[in-house]
Amino acid sequence: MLRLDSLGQRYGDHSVLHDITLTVPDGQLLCVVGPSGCGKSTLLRTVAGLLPVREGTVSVDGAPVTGVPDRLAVVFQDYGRSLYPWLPVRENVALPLRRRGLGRPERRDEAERMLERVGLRGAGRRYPWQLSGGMQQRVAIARALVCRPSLLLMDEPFGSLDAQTREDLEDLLLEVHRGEGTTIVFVTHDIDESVYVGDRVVVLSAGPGSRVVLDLPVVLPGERDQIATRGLPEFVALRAKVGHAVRG
Amino acid sequence: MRRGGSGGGGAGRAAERVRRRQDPLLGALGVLLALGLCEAVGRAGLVRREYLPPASEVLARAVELAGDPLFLAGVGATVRAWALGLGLACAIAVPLGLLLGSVPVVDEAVRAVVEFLRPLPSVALIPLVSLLLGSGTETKVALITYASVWPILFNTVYGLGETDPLAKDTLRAFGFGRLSVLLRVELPATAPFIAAGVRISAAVALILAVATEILAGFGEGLGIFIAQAGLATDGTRDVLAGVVWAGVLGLAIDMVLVWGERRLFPWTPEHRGDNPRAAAAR
Repeated sequence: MLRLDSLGQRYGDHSVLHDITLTVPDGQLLCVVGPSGCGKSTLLRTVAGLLPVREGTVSVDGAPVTGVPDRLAVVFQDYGRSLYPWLPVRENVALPLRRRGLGRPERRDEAERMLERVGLRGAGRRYPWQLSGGMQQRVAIARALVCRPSLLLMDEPFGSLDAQTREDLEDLLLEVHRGEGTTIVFVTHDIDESVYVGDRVVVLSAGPGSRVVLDLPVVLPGERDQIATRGLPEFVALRAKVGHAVRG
Repeated sequence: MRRGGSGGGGAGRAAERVRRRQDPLLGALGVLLALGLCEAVGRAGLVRREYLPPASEVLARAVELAGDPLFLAGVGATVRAWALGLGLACAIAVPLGLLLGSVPVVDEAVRAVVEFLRPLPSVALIPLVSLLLGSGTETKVALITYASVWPILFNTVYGLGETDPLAKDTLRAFGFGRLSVLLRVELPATAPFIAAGVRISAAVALILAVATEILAGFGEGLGIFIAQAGLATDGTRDVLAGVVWAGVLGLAIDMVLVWGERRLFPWTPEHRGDNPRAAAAR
């Protein structure tokens, strides 16, 4: 369980986040939406332990976050910058396993299995820069999932992909989430995406000093489907609510 | 490409490829023109033949030297000193650069010393070092090392500073510590910069090797050959033939290093364009 308690963040005098209190139960897929520059990424980096907590507390499973929490994984928007071009795809995916004390063959097998899971069977020997953007982000997702994280943070992961690829990856994410039951915090500026992907949507106000202005459970009938779900009246109503909250 | 993710610059890359394909041709043309000019000046009697022999004579002599075991032993000695000095420079500059680039406190403490030493012309140190170490291989290697350290050192520090913070954060977020980030992300990301530094240093090292030999005046080496030819009557042809050898040596070293960079770092933006595997993916 992830808990943020009166979390505040500032860069010098500039307040970025103000009094954020949130509880994310295990297995939830939480979407954080907000206008650009509202501190969504700062929130994510704070939870990841990459930024020190200024005010309030962040805790994972009851333990306050002081450094990078155990069993955490992150997927950033810029796959081109966060995948390592000097490593083949398989080595990129296997990299987090080095901290698990696994031998080389086990790491390789795990990486191959994860690549198959994200639909990249047989791409292990290629290099990230030889793949399309969508495939590269699949690699990043495989790498994030390879050590079975209990908390997965995603910072606008599909923001730089074309619409078709983006929908494919949204569905991949939903499928993985159903299968693994990982707690996921998914940051996006895309209102549609947040409602489609999330179990719950939290909207942050425009900065400075962003706060939570809407905390909305997403309940949609049936399995999510790119075309059918987006046409549901429930979906449209939720999207409108989130949209109003984002625009203030 | 490295920063964004979407394509772009395709036209630029294509132009680049065309330019590169033409390079050898243009280069050969340039060499031929220069040789022709030298030949003409030599033959036309504009200058005395002893001062500037025609290019054909110089080249013939250079080729002839390839069969001279004594001369080749000298070239071997120069290349050995070059390799040893450059190797030592790498062994010193890369770890030092990693230290300076990743520990700001050390960087600030050492900066003043570095900024004092760096502008000293290495060639000006030849008499001093000869006095201390004699005029043998030690002097040569010491001077080569000294001069070659700087480009590698500065490129290492610069490359570290250029490492993408997101690449580092990614590894940190997987729970890796600082040393892991240095070795697994910063070092490989900096490697192309280090290699470029080594290539600059390789040329500097050759200059130092030959210059030290010329100034020292005895022992063995390509520089010794040039220096002694310079003392002989009618030695200009030999001097120039020796210079041709030095030039060819430098060119060969550079070509090998460029080839090595392309093989080792196919992911860098300047190499992706001519990499068939990368082109296929686009």
